[in-house]
This record gives sequence, structure tokens and C-alpha cells, in this order.
Amino acid sequence: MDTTSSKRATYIYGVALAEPFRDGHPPLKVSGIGGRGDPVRTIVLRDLAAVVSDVPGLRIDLRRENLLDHQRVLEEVLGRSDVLPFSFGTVAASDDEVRDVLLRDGYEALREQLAYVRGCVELELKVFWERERLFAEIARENDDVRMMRDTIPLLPEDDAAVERITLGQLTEAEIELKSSWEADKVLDVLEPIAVDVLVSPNLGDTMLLNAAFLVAGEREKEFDVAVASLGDAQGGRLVFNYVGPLPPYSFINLAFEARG
Amino acid sequence: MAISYDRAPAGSSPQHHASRGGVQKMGGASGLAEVLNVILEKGIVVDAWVRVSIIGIEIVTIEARVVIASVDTYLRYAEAIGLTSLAAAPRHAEPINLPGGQTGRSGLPAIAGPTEEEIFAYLEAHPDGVRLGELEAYFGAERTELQGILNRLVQEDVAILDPERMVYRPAGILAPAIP
Repeated sequence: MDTTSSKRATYIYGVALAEPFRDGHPPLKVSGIGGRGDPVRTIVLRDLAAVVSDVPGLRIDLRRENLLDHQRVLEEVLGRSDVLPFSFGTVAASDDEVRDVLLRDGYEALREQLAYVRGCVELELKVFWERERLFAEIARENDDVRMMRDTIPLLPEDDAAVERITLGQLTEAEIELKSSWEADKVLDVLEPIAVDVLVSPNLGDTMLLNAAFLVAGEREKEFDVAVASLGDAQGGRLVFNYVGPLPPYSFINLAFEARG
Repeated sequence: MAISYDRAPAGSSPQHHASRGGVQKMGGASGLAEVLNVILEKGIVVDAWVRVSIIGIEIVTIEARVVIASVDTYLRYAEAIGLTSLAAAPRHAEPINLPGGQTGRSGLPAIAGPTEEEIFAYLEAHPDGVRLGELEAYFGAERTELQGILNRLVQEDVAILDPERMVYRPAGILAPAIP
């Protein structure tokens, strides 16, 4: 079906401001996706630049190396300009298609989004419970949980099986309560430093916060310090996974429908 | 692994965030696993232009996305809670005072449940065996609480559970009876 896959195509990393990439500025150092050393270049329309590189065909494999290439290009671009990152694996048939469908038809929408994220980076924070401590705290704080813990081993197996489920339900309710309490405390500290926050559903049962923050570049250091002191205060009770700066993936609300 | 950014604030080296306290800040490339879902699902999407083919199994699991509330989950939690008792309270923290000493319940606050000593004393006074319900009535205590104490007494070999008659008896037949 895909008869064009042997043709050269254009991989898109993101859309940035054109100025920092015009003649006279050094070329981007990082090479393009696919491991062939393709240079990363820009397709410019007025003041917008699509950051692209050549790829041999329309299909991109979802592999770690390719994901890293995508991310590395965007990180270097982010060092020079505001950038709207594209979702991994976006390939146009040609430069013309990028210029016409994306930059020209989408110009107003792209400008608007760029204005919104102006000067900002995305910082990702996931906070987890240290598993053993979580359960130890619940057993210590909740009398019912503790009592059931101590009596279940003594019950006949049929009764114990039922009681274990009740204990599990009680525990789950406690986890939810404690998690939202801790998440609120973290957000109370960090939200005022951020321009915008996106809280996503937690992944897995020890995660208590899964948040992306849009933060002005000049306040990133302040944000770092705030995250670090939140972590210090927990003394290993909570684990903080902190990633950034990223291009503002989570704060873009833009989907194009291109002619297939 | 550290990546420097041209726009990083003045005075901050790429290492400034390395292992301060418990929090380590990772760049997007080094923290790839952490931001996979973001790279794959967020950002600008041009429907007809997304042409990812999933061939490798290098990215097997992005993350366990949904934890379904299920019996399995509850059982896992129950197990995790069960393990806390091992860490929290060593079973022999307070060796039992074998009878001889007065262990009457009179001096205790009414709220407190019976102690191991009190229950043992009651068993000693009823060497033919005591049912759980009898202890419950006598001490006015929660069945679950009594069960916990009895279990400890059994584990410590100072009491015996007679499985046929479902009664508890003192273990040491040589132990002196309560005066």
C-alpha cells in the first residue's frame, strides 16, 4: 500500500521562531533522526521555522534511538528559541507539504500557541511513595487496618480470604486519601511558581502525583530549588522524579488535519 | 548525562541539580523513560503525518497505565499490610511474665483491652480449656483483639489451641495455677 516509502521524506521535530536559525547563526549541532547523520535544518515561512531533517521513507520505527534523536533535537532547539514540539513520528511527504499545509495554513494557530508558551519550559514531576513506608504508615495510623492485619492470620482460611479483601479495600482508601493529601501539599508549593499546570492520572499504585508544569525560563531555578526542598523535607518517604527542561509538550492544544 | 542549556540561568552549571537531597533533575534525553508518554502522546499532532511503525520490542511497556481495582489489587494491599507487622513490632518485645506475679485486671484503665498476662492467667485458672466466646464475655473485649493475643500466646508456646474442641489451654502443665 505504501508505495512512497522508498522516497525521501521530511521528518518534523517542531515549529520554532525563525530568527535564531537564520543565516549568520550557527547550524544545529545535533544530527537528525535515523542514524544516518542527516543535518537538522529549518523550513521557514515568515517568522516561523519548521525544524526538520530528511528521512529515507515515510515510516519511522518506534525505537529508543529514534526517540532519543527526536528529543535531543528538540532540546537543542529549545536552547535557542521557543518551540512547539511535534509528537514523535511526524513525517511529511516533502518540504513543500510542510510549508504549505503546516506553516501557511496553520500560521495563525502556531503563532498563538507560541505566544502562549513564550519563554517557558516544561518541567515534569512524578512523585511516588516509598512502598514499604507507605504501608507501614497506614498500619500505624489506621486502627482498623492494624487490627485486621493482626487477626487475619488467626482466622480459618475461608474467613481470612474474605477479610483480606476488606483489608485491601480499606488500605486502598487510605492510599487514596494520603496520596491526595501529599499531592495537594506539593502542588500548593509549586503551582504559584508555574504559569500553568497539567495534572495527569497517576500511573501505578505508588504514584501520588503526575504533573507537568509550564514554567517561565527565568523561574526555572526557583522551581528547581522548591522541588529539591520538597524532596529534602520528605527524607526518602516520597520519591521525586523530576525531568526537564522539556519543550512544552503538554501545554499545546493543536491538532492539524492534513490531507493524507 | 547532564545536558547544558544555553538558556539556563546564569551561574547554574549543568550539575547544579545533580543529587541535591533526594531529588535529581534529569534532562529529557537521560530521563527518556520518564517522558516517553509525553513524547509519544503530547505535542502537535498532524493526523495523516504520524507514521510510526512499531517494530522493536525495546519499548515493551511504556508504563502500567491502569491499575484496575480488583480482587488482585486488594489482595496485594492486604499482603503489603501484613508485612508491616514484621517490621513494626518484634513479637517478643515483652516477654510474658509467667504466673506467680499478680496479673489481675483490676488496676487497669477500663478502656484498655486485656493483656497477654491477663489472658494467660485466665487460661491458667481454667486448665480444661476456654472458648474464645467465653474470654470475650469475661473481658468484654473485641473478639479480634483477643484472637490476636491468643495467637501470640500459641506462637510463644505458652498456650495451646485444642483444634478438636476449639478451646485454648495453658501449655505448661507444670506451671503453677493461679492462687
